[in-house]
Amino acid sequence: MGEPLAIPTSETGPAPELGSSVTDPVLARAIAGDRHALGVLLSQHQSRLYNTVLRMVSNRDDAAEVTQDVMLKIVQHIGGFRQDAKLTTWMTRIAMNQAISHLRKRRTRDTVSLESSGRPSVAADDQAASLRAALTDHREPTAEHRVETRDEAECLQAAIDRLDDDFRAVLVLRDVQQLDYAEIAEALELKIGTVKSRLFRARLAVREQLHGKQTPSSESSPADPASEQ
Amino acid sequence: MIDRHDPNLLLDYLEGELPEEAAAEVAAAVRADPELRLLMEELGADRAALRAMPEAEPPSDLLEGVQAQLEREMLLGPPPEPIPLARGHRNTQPPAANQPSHLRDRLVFLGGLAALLALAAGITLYSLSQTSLLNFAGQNTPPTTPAPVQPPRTATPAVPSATDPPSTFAVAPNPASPEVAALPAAPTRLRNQPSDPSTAAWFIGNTSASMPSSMPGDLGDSPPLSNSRADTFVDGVAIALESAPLEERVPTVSEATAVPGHAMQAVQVAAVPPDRLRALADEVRVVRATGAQFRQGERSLARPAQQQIILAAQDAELAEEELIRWAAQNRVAVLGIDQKSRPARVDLESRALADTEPLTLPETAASEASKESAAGSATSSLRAPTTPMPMPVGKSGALRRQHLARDESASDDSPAPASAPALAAPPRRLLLQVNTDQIPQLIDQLAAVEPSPEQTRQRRALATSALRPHFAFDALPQRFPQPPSPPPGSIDALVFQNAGDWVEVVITPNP
Repeated sequence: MGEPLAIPTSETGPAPELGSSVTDPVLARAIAGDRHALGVLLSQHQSRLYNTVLRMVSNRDDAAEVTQDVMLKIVQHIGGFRQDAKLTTWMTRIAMNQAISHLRKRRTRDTVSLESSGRPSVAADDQAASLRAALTDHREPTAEHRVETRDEAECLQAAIDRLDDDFRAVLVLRDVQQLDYAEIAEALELKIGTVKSRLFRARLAVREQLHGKQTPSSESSPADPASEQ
Repeated sequence: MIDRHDPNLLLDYLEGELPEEAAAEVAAAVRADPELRLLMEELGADRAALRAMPEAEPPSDLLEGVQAQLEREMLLGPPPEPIPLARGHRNTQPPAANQPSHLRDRLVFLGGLAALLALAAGITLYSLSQTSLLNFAGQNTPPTTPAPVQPPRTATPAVPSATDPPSTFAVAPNPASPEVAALPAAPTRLRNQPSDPSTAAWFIGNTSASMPSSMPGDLGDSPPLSNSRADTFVDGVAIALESAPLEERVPTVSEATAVPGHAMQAVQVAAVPPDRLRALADEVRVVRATGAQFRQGERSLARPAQQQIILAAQDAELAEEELIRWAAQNRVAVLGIDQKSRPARVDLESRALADTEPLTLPETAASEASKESAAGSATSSLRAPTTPMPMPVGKSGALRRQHLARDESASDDSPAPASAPALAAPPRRLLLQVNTDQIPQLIDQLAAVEPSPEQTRQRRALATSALRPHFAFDALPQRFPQPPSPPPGSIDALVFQNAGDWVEVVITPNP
């Protein structure tokens, strides 16, 4: 760990194609312990990782923090990277685990804060769920601000935020990272059928959020964590 | 025919995953079903919008932060929390890690805070203890008053250990006390060395240097004195000359623990002027410095006139013997010796004075006492003496008030003799409250009289009977070395300094 990581420069090149394998000489050197190569590798993937995490946690500061943690884990475990997986998939798995862990911690904190505020816990799950959703990130702009700006990206992000973590992860990997079903399944260690199911339900939920229409489906709402089988 | 309720089919169509033929079939079905068409249009629009979301630029210092964190971990070790690389996003962390992070943070914070407080308290206590030790060991001198130049000594001032061999004198002046500082250099002779010089230690706390000229009547009115300090080293002898409110410097049991394995003797003696004390410093052999911790103590001890000698020795008998010898040779009245832990003390407030009977002073002392009483002295409530009696007071009129406390063996109606030769047989106990500035003078007069063996026996009996409730030092008088030739006198007197401004004199008629 004595050698510093390579700070991204212009010559580090663009992010590699998805599915970098050990045939990549940079990756091979990084696995062998070349800190410079590892720095180059991280600089190539940092934007993708950051955006993935950002869509998950929907907060820039949190995204930066989680991305740093992701990179740290990549550095710590790159030597044990199994060469039977794609590097991007492996990195994505780490990123999603970190992001979901962060979301759960944050949600627990907000829930406790909500319960400790003296509000009656019996007062309708819908109301609590609404408050929880509103409090998902107390640092993000308020609802009034969102209504005022009405930015499409913000609305989309807000719709994503209301999804359960499992559904959100699939949707983010599909639309932000634009992974195929197999990659998503590998990253999240799910079956492809589960991925497809979650993706469709996530899209329906987003539609509900954005268009206010109830999908005539018997399936439970993806926004309800209890709906996950 | 397609199933319009098949989510996988619709999703594949939406995601473009269907083959062309299947996609064409679905497209036809969607066109034919307005509700399905609307659904797919909205889903498609949302998907396109999600994919078109602008890509955020990561912070420029993202990798620098990673590098810095790696360096921190390299220096401080890996983080204690396990790295969750387990299956998917399932929570594989142990239950402890699943606790609310803010609760854990609070616990960690509170635990750390408690640890810091405990550490700070420990450091404070330790430093206070060390400060007391050092102060008594003479390592703490006030920085404001420069120390006058003293004649060179042969040894470096230091606090030797119990195993250090005795060396020569190295006397430092008391820079905090102008009176002491102005004293001439003390002689370097050594006297009264204990038989085992490595086992005895003396400490003399002197408050008389900055003692006020008048005493407040209320015991709780001890004026705060300057918290100055001067330490004198005498070849392994640490004599602390202190000037500080005695309320803060009452030796307690903690002194006994200051020198582990050593018996502790704490003795109160009558006030000794600085020059006397300085001379004593040359004569007291102290081989090991020890510390004493003081706390807010007994009110009866909280008097500015008292001096305390803390004696630490492995041999309690030796220490006591040395102390008594020293006190006798220096004509210092010893109030008592407590071989346990606490210094001898007298609770003046609880001391019964109701049985006192009027005492007639000599003309000069009586008149002065009357003047002071008329001046509104705090002690004016005490009864004025009426019976003439020779008093060992100085010409300066040190006696401020006096009482004749009737001893158990004394006769109530036996009048005191008018002069010394005419003193009757019954011994009497005289309680005097004197100006503390004059106590040494009084001591000089009283200590010059050495009792006969019979008188000593009587005196011991008196002291025992009279003072046992307060402290037991019945063995003290017989330990006083007999002077070669007791000077002729009219009284047989032993002075007991009780609490700074009270002097108890046992008067035995001398036929």
